[in-house]
Amino acid sequence: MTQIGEAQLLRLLAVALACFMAGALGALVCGRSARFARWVGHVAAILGGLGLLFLSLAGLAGNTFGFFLPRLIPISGVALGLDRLSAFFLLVIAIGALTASVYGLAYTREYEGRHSLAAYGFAFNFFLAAMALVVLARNGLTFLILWEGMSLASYLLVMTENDRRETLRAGWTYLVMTHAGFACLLVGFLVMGHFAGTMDFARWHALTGGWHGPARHAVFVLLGLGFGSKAGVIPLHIWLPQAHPAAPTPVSALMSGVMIKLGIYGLVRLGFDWFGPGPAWWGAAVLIVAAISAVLGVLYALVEHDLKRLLAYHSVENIGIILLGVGAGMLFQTYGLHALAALALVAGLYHTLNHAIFKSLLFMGSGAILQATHTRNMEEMGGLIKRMPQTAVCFLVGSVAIAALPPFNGFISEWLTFQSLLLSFQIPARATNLVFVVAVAALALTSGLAAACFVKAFGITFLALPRSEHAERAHEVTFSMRAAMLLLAISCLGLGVAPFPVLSFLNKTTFDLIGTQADVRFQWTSIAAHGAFATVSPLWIAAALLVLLAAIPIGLRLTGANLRRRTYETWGCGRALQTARFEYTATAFANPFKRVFGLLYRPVKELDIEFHPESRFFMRTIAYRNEARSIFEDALYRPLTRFAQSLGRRARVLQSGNVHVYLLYILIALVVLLLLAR
Amino acid sequence: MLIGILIELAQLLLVALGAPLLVGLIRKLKARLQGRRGARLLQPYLDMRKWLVKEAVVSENTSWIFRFTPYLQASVMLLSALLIPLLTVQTPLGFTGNIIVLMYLFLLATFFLALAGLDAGSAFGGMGSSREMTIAALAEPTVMIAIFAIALRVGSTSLAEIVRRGASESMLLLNPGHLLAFIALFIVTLAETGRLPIDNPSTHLELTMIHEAMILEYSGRHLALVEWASGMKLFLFLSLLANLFFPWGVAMNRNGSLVLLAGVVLALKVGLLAAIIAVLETSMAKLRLFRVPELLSGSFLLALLAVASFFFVR
Amino acid sequence: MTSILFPKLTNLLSFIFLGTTFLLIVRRNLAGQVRLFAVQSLVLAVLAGLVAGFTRSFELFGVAIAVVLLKGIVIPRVLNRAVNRIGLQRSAAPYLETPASLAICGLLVLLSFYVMAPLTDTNRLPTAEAIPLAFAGVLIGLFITIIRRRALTQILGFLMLENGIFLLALLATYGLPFIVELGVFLDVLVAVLIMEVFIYKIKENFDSIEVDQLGKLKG
Repeated sequence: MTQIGEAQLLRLLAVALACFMAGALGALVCGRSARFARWVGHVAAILGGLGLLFLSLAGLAGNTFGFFLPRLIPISGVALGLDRLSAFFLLVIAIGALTASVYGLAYTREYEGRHSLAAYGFAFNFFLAAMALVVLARNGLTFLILWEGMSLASYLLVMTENDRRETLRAGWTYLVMTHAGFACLLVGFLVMGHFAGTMDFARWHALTGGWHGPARHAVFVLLGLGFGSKAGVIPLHIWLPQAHPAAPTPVSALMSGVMIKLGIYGLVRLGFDWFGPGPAWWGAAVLIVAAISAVLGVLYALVEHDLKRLLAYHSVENIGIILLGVGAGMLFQTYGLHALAALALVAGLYHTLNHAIFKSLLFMGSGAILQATHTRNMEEMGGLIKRMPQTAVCFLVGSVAIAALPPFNGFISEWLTFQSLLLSFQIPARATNLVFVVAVAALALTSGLAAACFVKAFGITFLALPRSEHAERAHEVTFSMRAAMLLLAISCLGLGVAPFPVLSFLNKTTFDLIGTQADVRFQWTSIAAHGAFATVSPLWIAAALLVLLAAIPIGLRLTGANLRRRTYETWGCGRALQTARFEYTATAFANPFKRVFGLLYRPVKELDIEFHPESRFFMRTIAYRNEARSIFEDALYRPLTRFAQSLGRRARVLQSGNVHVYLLYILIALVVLLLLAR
Repeated sequence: MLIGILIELAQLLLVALGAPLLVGLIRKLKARLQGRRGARLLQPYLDMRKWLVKEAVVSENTSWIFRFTPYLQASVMLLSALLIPLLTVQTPLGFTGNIIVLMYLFLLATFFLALAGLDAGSAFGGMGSSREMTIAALAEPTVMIAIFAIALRVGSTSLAEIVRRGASESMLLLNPGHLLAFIALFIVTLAETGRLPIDNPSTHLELTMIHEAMILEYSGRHLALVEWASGMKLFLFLSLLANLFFPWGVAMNRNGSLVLLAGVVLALKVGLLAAIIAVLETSMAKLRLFRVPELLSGSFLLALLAVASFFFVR
Repeated sequence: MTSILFPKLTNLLSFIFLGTTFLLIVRRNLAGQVRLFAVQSLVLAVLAGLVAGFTRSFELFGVAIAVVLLKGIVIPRVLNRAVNRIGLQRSAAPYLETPASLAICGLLVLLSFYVMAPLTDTNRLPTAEAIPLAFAGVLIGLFITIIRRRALTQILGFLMLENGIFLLALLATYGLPFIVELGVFLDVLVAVLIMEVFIYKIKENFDSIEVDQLGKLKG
């Protein structure tokens, strides 16, 4: 392990930031030529991403730095630092930044002349730099300012295609939700700072150790809500399915793959770094919220036929799976089972990385389809596997990975999560045990439903016959988009077959946080959790599958099987011709789920049949609508907005329009403040 | 080393060759119970041979997924045959996957079969895929909670360890948690392998079939592979039930004669379970599709009870 | 040997007892539901006999035989007569879908395990392990009377609740005094007879035995 000095690391960071800054300003300056702005913005982002990648690898190898600048931010100054946890999330950011930039370079070509690529390039680079700095921030105010910068930059990016109503609405929801979260974070940090007497992250751990009382719980809840709203846990998830589809695809990939992970980063810092072992209800609350997010996220995804919205709901699901690991870790920590806590956290963090990879991949795939077919509606797709074969393979890899099937990366992290949940029987508290039972059931249901959902997503989109002219005329996308997807697809396979390197980094990361080795042993060929409790050897399984896949055709040849193949039309009960209208649709595919979980969806069904005036046996038109409604929007947010509106209406009384009255308000406010501050 | 390879080979052959026989056995038993003479016991082998000599007709709408899936099905089942302690707990490849890995491998096979069902663009295939995935997804929580119950009793999720500990435990069959987990997994087995009352393996009535609907487009060697794989899946599930819940007879070492004996005992146990299935299929009607979730939620409840009994009962 | 076998057997039988309660939720056929009650009562009788054998209590044997006669034979007969008189009826949907009811039953079982944990941990009786199961039987019996529309199923729920109470007494204290048991049995029998008459009357007046219709009686 090579030691790299602080100065060199700082120089690396400065170079990366300079790249981003050059990209941001360069795109603005070159705003006249859209083509130039596109190139400058993306190449700078690629270079900056490379810098972040090196920095993160150096950090994962154990190098650290601390940086303090007393100026720039009043009171506390700017404090940055690098440790393994930061480096790990920096890795996630770097991977996302690199692939999204390579992909975006080609993807945003069609924005030329339609949307401002100068603003896009500026916000894109600014967004990447802000995310990188968030995970490096080392005091409260630095963190908050960067966090807000990140949110605003992403808001600008979501608003890129601002000529559509849908985008405006999505941007508005996102802005409100992110600021509600920010308010929680602000208050949480201030309370924490007040009680700890410092805003310095490094000193919080020591100071919160002996701290009890309601303020501690309040801080946990506030920060949990703030980070949770960024991560998109249910019921704070409503901005995700709106903002992700509205944003340009590289931004969707970044937001879903990377930005929401910073909510996870915050929660991990909160649960393992700033606070030590907390009361059991903290971990239990995280676990239950995680279970609900996972199951409901995938259930909403199942009935969604807008490809990007479907993926956005899957982000909610995967955040749930990640938090199952994090929550389990917090509970293990509460009961003093530190080795298991480390195992659970390793599982959660591994899934964080995996999700960043396969979700970016899937979003990029959906972007490729969007460019090829100009629609996000799955009901108009089909048959794309013959028209976009490479995109199809990449999307399939992503689908299998997100469904957590071997031999891809999602399987490893979900397997680890399962083991850590199953090992919960070592906790000697029965109520907690029951929470874990619920978590196991939720994770199992989630994985089954996710597999079903991606059969739908891949099968309806890529297989069989095209359902519309758009899909029929689709063609493969440009090389740089395919390259980005291919890179991610290979990573999915690599991290699934050889999880050893990442696991060993993660083991050290959790060691730094918890102070105990994770209860897992691993080599190149196998992973063993908790002694012989559970073993898996992804490499052997992949190899054996390959051997068998090769052996069966050979076996067929040896047994003298008939190897001829005749192409003929699909059997259709003797119908004369086979068209795409006979195919199963996405709605039809999801319908059993809609019926089984009807309580949740409360589907709205409408069937309008217009009969022929001569006979009831001939129909003119059939209109069929079968939509699911969101409980959360109906039961939580609509009353909330209605309440806010009625408050506003009441407050309107204050607005008399008379200047003297306004001056009177100022006087009253002044007097009240003086009295309070006395 | 050599003995290890021989054992794995024996397991592979047992599953590969035993699967069609098992299918034939259940069909024969059913026929006899229903007062028919039924086809020969060895009929499934003859069917396989017939499919293998015929050329494969492939729909023009399909892609490589459709042609790849049969090979994947068979590979996954053969791989699982290597992982499960069928004859002895000392299988050389046993370490490569615990019971959860096994369940995910089966899910991988189901995933691709459902994709293949959609690939031809016929409504039947899509219907089959949709239903198959619904049932697979709803069965998953039962599987995992039942596994949780087993892990609680044994303190391990390794297949070999479960068998070893089970065999050494006295009065295993009086343990309610053990029995509940067995019933739960038995119901799941019926669902996963497409047996009555969830799916009817012998129907070709369009609106009721699930598994058959998915593979409707297959013919020739592809059909042979798919049918072979589904037979192997049934064999694997039944022998899992037999060995995890009634672990007697499985060899605890690599002694040749004990392994041989284990093979005989396994055949008896699987045969008994097959007889139970035959009786069930004769006496029960297929459930309506939308009552299947009721059955599966019932099995989930049993698994949950099994876990609770281990947590709360000393 | 018996000291190991006895708790195992009582535990197993209690699980079967609870299983019959679950099946009552799944079953829709009225005659089948009555048969389930009979089976449950027989399981209860076997348990009572087992406890009687273990404690060598003569009275408890008598109680076991009484259970067989009354709950295993007489009450099912009476109820079957009611079923026959009502005739075949379209099965009415319960207030709650079956999967949801089963899920709630699961929660009730977990709850009773959780609530009874302090008791089972300290109780030295060999039958203590099964106490939460009996308690769960009581809770689920009550739950059935809440969610079912049809009066007959409600009665069965009530009877299963009563069975649960009996089992609870059996496991926790090896049964109540003989006289008390007899009194309870008599009460149950009379209650069933009265309810049978009521079902018949309800059916006569409303041409259905769904209890929803009773709402119409309100002025």
